[in-house]
Amino acid sequence: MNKPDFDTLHPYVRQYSDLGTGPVPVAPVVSPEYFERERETIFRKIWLNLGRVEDIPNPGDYVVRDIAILKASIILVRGDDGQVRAFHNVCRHRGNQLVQGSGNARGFACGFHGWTYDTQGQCVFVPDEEVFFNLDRGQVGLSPVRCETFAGFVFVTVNPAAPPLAQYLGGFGEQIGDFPFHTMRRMHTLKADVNCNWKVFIDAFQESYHGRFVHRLTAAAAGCVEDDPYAHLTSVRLYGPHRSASVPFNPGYQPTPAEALSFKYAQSLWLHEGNSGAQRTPGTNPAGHPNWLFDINVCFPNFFVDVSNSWFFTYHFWPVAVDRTHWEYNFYMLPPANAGERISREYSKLYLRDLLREDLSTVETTQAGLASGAIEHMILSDQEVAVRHQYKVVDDMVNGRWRG
Amino acid sequence: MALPHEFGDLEQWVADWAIGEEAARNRKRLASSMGQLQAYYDALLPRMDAIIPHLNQYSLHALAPAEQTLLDLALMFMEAAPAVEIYRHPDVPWGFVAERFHILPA
Repeated sequence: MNKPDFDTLHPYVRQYSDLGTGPVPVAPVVSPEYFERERETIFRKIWLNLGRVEDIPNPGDYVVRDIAILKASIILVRGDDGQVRAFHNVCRHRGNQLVQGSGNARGFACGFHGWTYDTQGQCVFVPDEEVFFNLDRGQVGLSPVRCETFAGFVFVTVNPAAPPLAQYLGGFGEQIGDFPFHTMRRMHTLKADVNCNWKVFIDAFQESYHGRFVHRLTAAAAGCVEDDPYAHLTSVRLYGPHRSASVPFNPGYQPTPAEALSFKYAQSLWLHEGNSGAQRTPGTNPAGHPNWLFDINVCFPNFFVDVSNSWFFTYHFWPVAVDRTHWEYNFYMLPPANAGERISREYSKLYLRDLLREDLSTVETTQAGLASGAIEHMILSDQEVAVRHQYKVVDDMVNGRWRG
Repeated sequence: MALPHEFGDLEQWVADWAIGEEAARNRKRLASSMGQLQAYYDALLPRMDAIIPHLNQYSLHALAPAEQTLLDLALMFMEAAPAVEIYRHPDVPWGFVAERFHILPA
């Protein structure tokens, strides 16, 4: 079997020596004060992903995102001019919330006093306008939120000084930007409110070390082999605050009968033309590794866009409190051309859904353990470089040391 | 008959297992015994190579009711499969509690 082409057990500390090797403090995941500093120094300063352009495909389509860490409710809306914009969901009159959920509308009318705005955020009607004092409707449009799109992903920031989105994404955006996201369709959404810190939650998804244990009945077989029993990451790339890692494929993997059916009629979750490193979908497997399962792509601070040959998924980890996170997952595949592909894709979708039940099983107990004060540090291996990177970037930003 | 006539042998499963939405199919799996899931899996597996070519004759977005019911049975097979093949248990044995894990359609 092919072994990863490393001449050391610690390739990543060599590659990223300034991250160090020491233990990492627990305090940032249990301290309410640190959480508030994260709110101010990170989440209020940075680009945050709120979805994809396909969420609001037609003029008048809108979706409301309530973002607890910003203490803000934001409307994403596609105007009659086709442009995607974001606004605070706050009436300019006395601050009431305008709308909830999602749909298609010609505008938004406040339920309190009927002030009405169009899909470009302009105020178009103020009932009983003449009893105001020289009110100029042109000056009381919805408060805009900076909104930019990259590869179809819609990001917002409440920081007027944030660099342009493409500059923020930098090399990370360049690596994944050509992936054919727009050709795929969402298959389902999963959500959970979980009692753990957003960083503890993220850690469960940015290493492969857990695979042999948490996924011992499932994905362990897809990545672990006799001379690589812990499915070492075959590539880790850090791009400023962002990171990407590749997970290996076990070329001896034997699908179950249902997965074999899935692979017979379409590409399957784990079995696909990219396994051998050839026929790579653009934006995947940056190292061209010959045994490739999928890439973990972490867009700082809280957004994953993991990619394979014929699917991608996103995770959003929305901090609610130091020990509470709202998690949302969206899974996308090429739209099925026929029933056989639809049935094939169902296997992939459900297998991954059940895998996530496994992943979510460790995070609340981990948070409880860390909150008990029993330990003051976490011990991280070379394979857990992504975990180490996240804590360093966060701490640098919280303490004003981050220089990009 | 709720199914195309070539699949009359599967008619007995329609009432309880032809379910149209993923969250409801998952609830069915979690509420079933291993015996029930194994019996369903054993009945559908050998028919999948006939079901799929049959359904592939038609547009996925314009299936007649009988074909839609057959598709629902095939999707339920995929829901039952991890329980039978991998977990040997209706649910993910040590998984995050199902009631707090929300499955929403696209």
